[in-house]
Amino acid sequence: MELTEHLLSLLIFVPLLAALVLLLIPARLSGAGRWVALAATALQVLLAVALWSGFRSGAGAPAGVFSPQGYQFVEKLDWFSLPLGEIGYLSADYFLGVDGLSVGLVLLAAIVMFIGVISSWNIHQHQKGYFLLYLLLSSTVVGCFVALDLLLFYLFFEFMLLPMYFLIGMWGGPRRAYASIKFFLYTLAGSLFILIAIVGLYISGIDPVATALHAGVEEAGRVQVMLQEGALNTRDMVHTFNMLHLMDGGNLIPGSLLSLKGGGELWGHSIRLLAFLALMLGFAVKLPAVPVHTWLPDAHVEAPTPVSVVLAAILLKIGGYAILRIPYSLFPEGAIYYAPLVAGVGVLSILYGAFNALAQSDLKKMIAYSSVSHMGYVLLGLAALTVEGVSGALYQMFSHGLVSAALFLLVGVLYDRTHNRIIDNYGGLARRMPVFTVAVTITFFASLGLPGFSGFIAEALVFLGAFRSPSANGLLPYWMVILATLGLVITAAYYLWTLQRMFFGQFFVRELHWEGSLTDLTPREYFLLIPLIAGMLVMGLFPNLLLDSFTPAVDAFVQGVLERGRSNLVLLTRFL
Amino acid sequence: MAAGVLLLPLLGALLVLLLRGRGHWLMIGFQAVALLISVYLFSRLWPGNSDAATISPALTHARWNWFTPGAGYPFTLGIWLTIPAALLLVVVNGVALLVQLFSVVYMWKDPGFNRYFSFLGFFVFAMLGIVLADNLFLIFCFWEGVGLASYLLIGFWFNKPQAAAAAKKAFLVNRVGDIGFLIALLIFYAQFRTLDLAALFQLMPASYIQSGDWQAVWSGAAGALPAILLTVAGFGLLMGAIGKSAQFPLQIWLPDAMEGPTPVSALLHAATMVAAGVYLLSRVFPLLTPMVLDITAFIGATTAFMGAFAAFAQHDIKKVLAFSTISQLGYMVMGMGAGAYDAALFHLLTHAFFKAGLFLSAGAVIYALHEAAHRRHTHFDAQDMRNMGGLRRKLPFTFVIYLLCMLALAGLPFLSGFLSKDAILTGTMGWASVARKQWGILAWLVPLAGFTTALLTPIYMGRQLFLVFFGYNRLSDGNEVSYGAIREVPMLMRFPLLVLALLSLGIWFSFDAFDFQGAWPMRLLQLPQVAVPGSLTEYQAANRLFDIREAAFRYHTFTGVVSAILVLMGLLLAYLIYHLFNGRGSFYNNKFVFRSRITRLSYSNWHLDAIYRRTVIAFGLGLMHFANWLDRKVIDRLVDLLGMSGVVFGHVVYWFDRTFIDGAVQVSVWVAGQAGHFSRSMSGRVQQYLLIMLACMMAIILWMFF
Repeated sequence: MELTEHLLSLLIFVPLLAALVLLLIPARLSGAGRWVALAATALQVLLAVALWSGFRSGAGAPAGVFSPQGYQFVEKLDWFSLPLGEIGYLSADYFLGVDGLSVGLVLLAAIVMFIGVISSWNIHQHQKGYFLLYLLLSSTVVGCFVALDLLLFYLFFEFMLLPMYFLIGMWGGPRRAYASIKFFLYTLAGSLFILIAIVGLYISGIDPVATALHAGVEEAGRVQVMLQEGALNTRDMVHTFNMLHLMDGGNLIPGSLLSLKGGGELWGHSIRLLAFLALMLGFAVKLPAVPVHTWLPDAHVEAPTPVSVVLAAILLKIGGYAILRIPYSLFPEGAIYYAPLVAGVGVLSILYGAFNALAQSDLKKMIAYSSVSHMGYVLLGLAALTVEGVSGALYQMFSHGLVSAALFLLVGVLYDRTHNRIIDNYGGLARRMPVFTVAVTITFFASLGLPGFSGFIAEALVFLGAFRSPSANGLLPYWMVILATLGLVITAAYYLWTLQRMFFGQFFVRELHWEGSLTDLTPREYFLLIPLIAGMLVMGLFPNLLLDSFTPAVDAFVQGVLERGRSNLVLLTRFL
Repeated sequence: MAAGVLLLPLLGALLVLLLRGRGHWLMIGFQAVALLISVYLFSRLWPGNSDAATISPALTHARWNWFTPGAGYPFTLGIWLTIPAALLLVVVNGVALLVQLFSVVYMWKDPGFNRYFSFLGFFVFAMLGIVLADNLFLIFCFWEGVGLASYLLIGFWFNKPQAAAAAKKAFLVNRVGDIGFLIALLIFYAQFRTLDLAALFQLMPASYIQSGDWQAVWSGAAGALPAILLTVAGFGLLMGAIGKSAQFPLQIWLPDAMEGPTPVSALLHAATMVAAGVYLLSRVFPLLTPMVLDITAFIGATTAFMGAFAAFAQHDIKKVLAFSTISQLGYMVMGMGAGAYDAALFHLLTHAFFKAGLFLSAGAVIYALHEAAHRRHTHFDAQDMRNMGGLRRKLPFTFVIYLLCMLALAGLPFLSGFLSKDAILTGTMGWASVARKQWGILAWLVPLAGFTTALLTPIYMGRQLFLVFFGYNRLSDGNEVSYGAIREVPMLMRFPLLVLALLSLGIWFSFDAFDFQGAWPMRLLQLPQVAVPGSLTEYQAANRLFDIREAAFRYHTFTGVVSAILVLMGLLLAYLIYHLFNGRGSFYNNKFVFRSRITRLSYSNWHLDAIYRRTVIAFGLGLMHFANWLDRKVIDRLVDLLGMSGVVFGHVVYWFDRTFIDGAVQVSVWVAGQAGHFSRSMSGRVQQYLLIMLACMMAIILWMFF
């Protein structure tokens, strides 16, 4: 079938094509922009649903992660290949594919993008430009989740910044210039570390299949043996950005920068471990993890509602997903060696984010800090490297995708009416906006991890997995997990305190004229919120629906990272 | 079938929300069906009614897969109907039904009538979930669900700032306890990779402790856990119970919870929800180490005494009952810790009835006073006992009900409370005589606190009885006119009251009013097999419990006589202090405030709120301010500084560019220009221009590099 073979490409190029269409329509028809965007994102949702339902999971399904055969909907084309004479060939692939780790995130991204368009319905200023950038963002986001070539991934990853920068910088609040530049530079600085690591990887690894072709060897396996024996001519080596080839230690050139045997060192440290840290740092900015998180509150406060929704619900997930896919899969020894560090940063994020959320007077800033806190669970669960922990980390990404989207939409409801988000400027809103209050209460409780909602399953799995780590694989200490549980109380505190101050008690608003504009939810707002809330409930009550899609991948991931990491660490003992 | 009982109230709650109108009768009907099924299930489990062979496993234990993370073991949804569970099923459904009937009148005029009923239905669902769930993970889910129901119902009148604050406080304090519960879950899961109770009861005894390690024995057992975690897990479960059952030091939320509607206080904060902690301890009893049980006894004793003391100096009719609930829950927890497992559950049962009866009577009083104030257009606090007195004459029915329930609480012979309290006190005596080997003289503090509380209970309850129903009415400041308008409550309210008062009689539980041993709940409830591994040197947990029960038999008569004397003494004292020497209540008018240090200590519940405000909350807020300062003034300042230094560096480079590099370019352009001028080569030929340009560029490059 033609369609399923190119499903991933379609997912990327449909919004891009729509953006092109938008570019061509005359300025006086700029009102059509939102319809084009709506149609494109709706189509993207349909494609993502097709992807989801066509994805094989469960017993006997390909596991993904480390083996090229494990991926589904794979598309692979030679992008370019340049002969560089003595130093071999430079090549990059247009290589797409999904496994359990990414398939759900694609669906999440498509849904949130669609909701974001509806939420953008009342943006009237420079509509054409807005939706053009929005569609560009939509395409790059999906690209990040499905790219399996490092160069391609990096391209999407960096290209995401451009629309985001303008969306905040042009349609944002009063301090939008500061916020957008801060966002841009912060992430760009993070990307620098990622780029260095990618270049290092590129220099150190080869594509065994292409190399076999150039060297005239029959099979790829033989090439790996020749490579390790030093029998391969450098001019025949095809350097690659292919993640899956680079995950295989057999494809790393002996003595090269990042090779396992005789790999490079810098000031007595293994460069492989340093590369792990560089990648982690780069993606930690995106996640964001404390202490590289301060761009997030500013970006959120200034961004318009739909951009906040997309930022919190998807862009942060790219950070989390990339950590699984790149540093953890490519440098598993780092995942083991630095497990306490990663978990420690996670716990710090959980507690520090929660305490900061408690201190905020701006509702949106509070929610931004709650994002920092909730993404800390992702790091904690990942660092544990148990099936429960990693499943919990992934589940938390989905859960937070839905919950944070709803939270930012709800803030938007209030902001649309009064253009003010200061908690102390309101009181007793429940009387005036009963349905809004119900929606806020449900979402707050979902976010504070009440059983029945998605967040509980995620956090429970993270805690169970992390606490099992000391006895199962010896990576984390017990006290770290116990410390993290304190986050549950602080999270409940800032949400319930906010409910008490803003929604309960006597009705009060700071400015008299706000009173008239405080109307309850409109049909459009219902339409946005109901699917999200339903999603949180379904994910909380029937966790298998989602868990099953990544079960084989998580198993392969945990087993692979532990096994490869341990054997790699043995090779690197001289540094430890 | 048990699953049906669980789901009926939830269905009812949804219907009330959807049907608007008068869906509540449908819901009450569902509740009645649930009660009938519960009674049937209980009768099936009754020994002798059906021997083990005829009870199908499907009836008592059913399990379904819920979800499986990775290659791990499945988390299940399951129902496990044991005898205590079936008993609780009847109690919860029964009290819930009565409270719902009472609420129909009590909440009739409230605009949130349907919301109220749906919350109530949700609560019953979650509570039954705790009772029935067969694994700790699921219990935790329902545990939180009950917390949510409590939050919603305490804050039901959300316009009242105190109600909103009380709801938040209740949830947060409970969350602190829940962390303990969660940590217990984590430990059991790390060790056994299952949270299924039946599985734990089998895996636990097989595990062993050796040289400081707690090693599990099962096919997939991984590395050992430190032995201390076995005890920590027990403490975690205890902490959960402490939060939910309002035990020291987390009992501060329950008095505030009285902000909710009174029937809610009867159902949640007296009869069922707060008893969930005690029930949890009974459910996980085999997993608790002797050390944990001992601490449980101490905590219960402390709470029993603290609650009774704090009940002395309250003005609010419901707050007296709230502190008495704390105190009675302390009894149950104390009994659980002392190994009087059956006695604690017996007291849970009797307390559920008489305390619900007391709260509903208080509700009836409040309702009657409200109506009277409404009729005469006056305004006064209908919960403040300073505005009451002499109501016996206006509310004779309510008075009789209150009297019966109150005497049951006080522990008068022939009423239910005497039997169960006696059972607990006997148990603590037995415990103390064994535990003194570890704790020395301290062990006797537990029964001492128990007996002291037994004396205090009739005194503070007698105080309430005399201040509310006897003496003169103390309405004043123009509100006196309302006294004449007080009417007895409607029949629909009286029915639940009557049932609860009748259930407070001892005769239902034991024919011999002085023999708790013969009471059916005591015979029905069997002490579960202890499952914790004892290390080789430590006193075996199972043997210890056996010794305690052996010892307790010796104190049976002693306890019965002493507690009967204490009750009569307490009632007499109450009569003297609060009635006879108190001007028949007339000194206790609306100008009255507590002045002495000791009464203020009681009034403020041992100043616990102030203590927490100055320590835990101050510390938390301090951390909050510190985190905020760190974020804005240090981390973000550093980021900005980094950004600024980039800009400054850019300016430096720009200045260098302007002055040196650009200067050089201009110089060379000038040179070239001059050269062209001299050679008069402006012929218009493009090639020549290009040649000159190339030459200039070469010159510049040469100049730059050399």
